Amino acid sequence: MYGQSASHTGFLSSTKLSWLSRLAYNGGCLCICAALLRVALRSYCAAHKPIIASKGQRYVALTLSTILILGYSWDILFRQEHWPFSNTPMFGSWRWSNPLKYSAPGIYGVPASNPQLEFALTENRFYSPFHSSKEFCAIVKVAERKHHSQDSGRVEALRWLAHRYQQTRRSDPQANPELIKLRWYDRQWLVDKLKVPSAVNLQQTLMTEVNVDAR
Amino acid sequence: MTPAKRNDVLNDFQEWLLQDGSAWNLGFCRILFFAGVLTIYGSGHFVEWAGVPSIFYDPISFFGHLPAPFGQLALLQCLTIVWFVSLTLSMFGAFTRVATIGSALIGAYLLGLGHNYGFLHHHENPIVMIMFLLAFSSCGDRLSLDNLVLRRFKRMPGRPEADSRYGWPIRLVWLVLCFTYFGAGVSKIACSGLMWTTSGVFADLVWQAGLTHPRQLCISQSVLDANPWIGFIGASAGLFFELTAPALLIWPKWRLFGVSALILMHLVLDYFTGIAYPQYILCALFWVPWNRLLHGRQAAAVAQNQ
Repeated sequence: MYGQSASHTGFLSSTKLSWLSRLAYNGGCLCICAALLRVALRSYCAAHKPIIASKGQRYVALTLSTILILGYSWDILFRQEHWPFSNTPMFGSWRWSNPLKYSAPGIYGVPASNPQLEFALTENRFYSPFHSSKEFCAIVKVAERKHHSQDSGRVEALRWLAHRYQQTRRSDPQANPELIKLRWYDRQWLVDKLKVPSAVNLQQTLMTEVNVDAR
Repeated sequence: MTPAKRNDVLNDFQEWLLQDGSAWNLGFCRILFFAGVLTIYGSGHFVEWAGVPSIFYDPISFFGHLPAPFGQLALLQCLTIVWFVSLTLSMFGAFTRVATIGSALIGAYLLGLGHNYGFLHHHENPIVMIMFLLAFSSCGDRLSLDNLVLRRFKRMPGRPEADSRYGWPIRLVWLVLCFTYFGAGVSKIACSGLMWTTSGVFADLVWQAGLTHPRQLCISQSVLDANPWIGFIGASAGLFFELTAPALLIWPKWRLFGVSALILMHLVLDYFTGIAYPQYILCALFWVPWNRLLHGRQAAAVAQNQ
């Protein structure tokens, strides 16, 4: 794909070439867009009456538009994020593959009423203020960097989730059964899309578990 | 670029940016926008960030210069209350300048908090941008309590209905939305090229949503897999409308079609994959010429000439 070069030696290593080619593509897209807009603006201005605006309004409007154009262009060009500016890289890097390999962590709770069972905590309210389990699981990487240990990140995250679950349970005991354990599974799905019906293979590995404090 | 050409570009841009706009339209957009923000964020989970330990805190942007929210329950409660009050005052147009500035500053903090824990999502970016633009604008000149006080009690004449001060905020909001969609389209091309349209991304997203949160859909997974052209058309259409988003700035007729297509894209994505962007659908209200829609073309022309 773009930027993939066979050269791994010399000044233009594959990483640099990939970065440069991406920069060239982003810059090219912005330039093409700007050129087309330039042409469109000309015809727009020819068709509309001249403006009358005070100096103050002119300066405010132009200053804000300059900040917006520079901020967004920088982030799009260099694929960076500077809140609240963004290059909105939504689903950008996607490749067709078969079988489809999808992995996602799964948080399961073991109820006190039946320790042989476990159920997935799928509802987003369990992870509040995070919007979803996916956002919650991202905190593990942050904790891993600080702890320099993969497992301790998950343990810390599960401990916080257990504490959070107990808070949720206190406000509504009927809707939230008492739990004795929380488990973190790494789940990997392999979906063979060419078979009819598609074949789904799930591999689930227990990574860590913590006890839920009853207090 | 020669200085003469540079002046041409600047003049053309100013001509576009500073065209007259309707004060009524801007006021109506203000009401709808802040009402929408209150609706989406009214449940207010912001205080719960005070319970997330600092070990998970990975600050971005200016948050690195601020203390972590862990343990700052009272501060977050105070900020949340002040923010909701600011949003309400902005919606009603009371002390509009102060209220909109407060909404923008506190909103940039509260809405950005969730981005400091290792995961960046892009739901709130345009909301914060628009709040800042409205803070700098004269959005409280019509359909506001400030205007009511000005006219009824202080007996001062208001500003004219049509003026460039009411046009540029709307156009800058358009610019923000265009950059957002155009950036998404450029990201797709930069990362995957045009092969993105044949990557089966849509079908895969539906698969992923179905694996983690199974539900009944009007088109089953097997139909999507057996007919990859459905995903190809959807992906191509989405990419096309994202890359042509800048055209929305200039051509009004394309605006109706393009904005409708982008809203439809969000709705389809939400239905099939559970990935919802209500904030983007809210921001689409700025594309609508409400004064023309509600008052009719004739009344809008009369109002503009007064």
